[in-house]
Amino acid sequence: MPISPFRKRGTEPETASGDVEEQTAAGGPERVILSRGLYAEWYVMRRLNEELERARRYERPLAVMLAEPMVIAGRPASAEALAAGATAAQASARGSDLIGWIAHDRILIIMPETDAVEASVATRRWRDEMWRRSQHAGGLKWRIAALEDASTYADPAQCVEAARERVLREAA
Amino acid sequence: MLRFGTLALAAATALLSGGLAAVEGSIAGASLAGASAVLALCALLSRDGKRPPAVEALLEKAAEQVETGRKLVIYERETGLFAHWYVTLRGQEECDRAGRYKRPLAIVVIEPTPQSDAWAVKEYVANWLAKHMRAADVAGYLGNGRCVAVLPETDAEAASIVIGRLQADVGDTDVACSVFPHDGTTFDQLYEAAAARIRGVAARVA
Repeated sequence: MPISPFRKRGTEPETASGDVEEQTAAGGPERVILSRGLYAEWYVMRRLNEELERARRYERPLAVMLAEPMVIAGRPASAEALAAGATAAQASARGSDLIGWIAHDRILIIMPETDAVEASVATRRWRDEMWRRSQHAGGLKWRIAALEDASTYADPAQCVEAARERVLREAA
Repeated sequence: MLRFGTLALAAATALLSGGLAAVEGSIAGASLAGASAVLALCALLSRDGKRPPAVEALLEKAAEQVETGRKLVIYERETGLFAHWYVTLRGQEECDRAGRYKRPLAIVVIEPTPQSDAWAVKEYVANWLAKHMRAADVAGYLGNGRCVAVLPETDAEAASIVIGRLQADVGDTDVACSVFPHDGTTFDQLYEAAAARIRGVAARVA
């Protein structure tokens, strides 16, 4: 299990106020792992690492989906359009899916216990939902592709890279 | 002038809170407040929106430190295990997942025995959990020497093996477990069931 650098410190008794103090400094506990309504990149990558190990250890299916905004004429997607994408992603998610931002404007969806068939069904559903919602928020289009058998990749970075390649291939 | 005054006040406040946090022994608090102070001072040094390269580098480092400080909030700083709020959040997530996909799940609650040196035992337990938990396990410290471990994909039999190993290695601990869905379907219910067993064990020993 990952362990924090605090572990290396002295052994004086802890105080409850210490936790509250740290959490207040960060603006409340849950806000630490969230960013613009979804999980922050550092947190979603950390969870992807956990899920990869878990899927391998217990031989469970794991799929990863990546949604990437289509950039037109080099213009970055507006904050409003990205927010609409995030809302659509949340609306389409199951309770156990983990959704977070990657590289500022891409959305990574970790889908535990999801095989290839379920992943393709989910991709269609997500694509429809994000298309429907984006029409009301700047018309941003999203390219979405799922990577089944995600646990075959050695680490989270490779897994995300493979998902990105899949997105680009399907777009082509 | 007003802008200068506001920034100076922000920098002074951040420096003061950084100092106070350092005195109280909070590394993350000091790091965050200190980095905030640097950010405010860098803003002071800016002229017409342009910053010298040294200030730019300092600003980048301070932003990095703020980010690092934020990430540490998921941990309980004394034991290095996860903080109470985080283990509760993950515990509930795991219960939902176990219910949805019909997977086994166990919760283990660990507490030093009343006769033991609680601080020393807490240290051993935290060390043991950090060393022996699997990547998918979530172990947190709840205060008063009590730790909790959420063990996904673990049934009652496997949990009893974990408990046996822990007690053999650490000793001087009361340990109890609860399993999904037999003892409850939410993290609170499972925790309550395990905590009630711990109280039962302590009462029997007394």
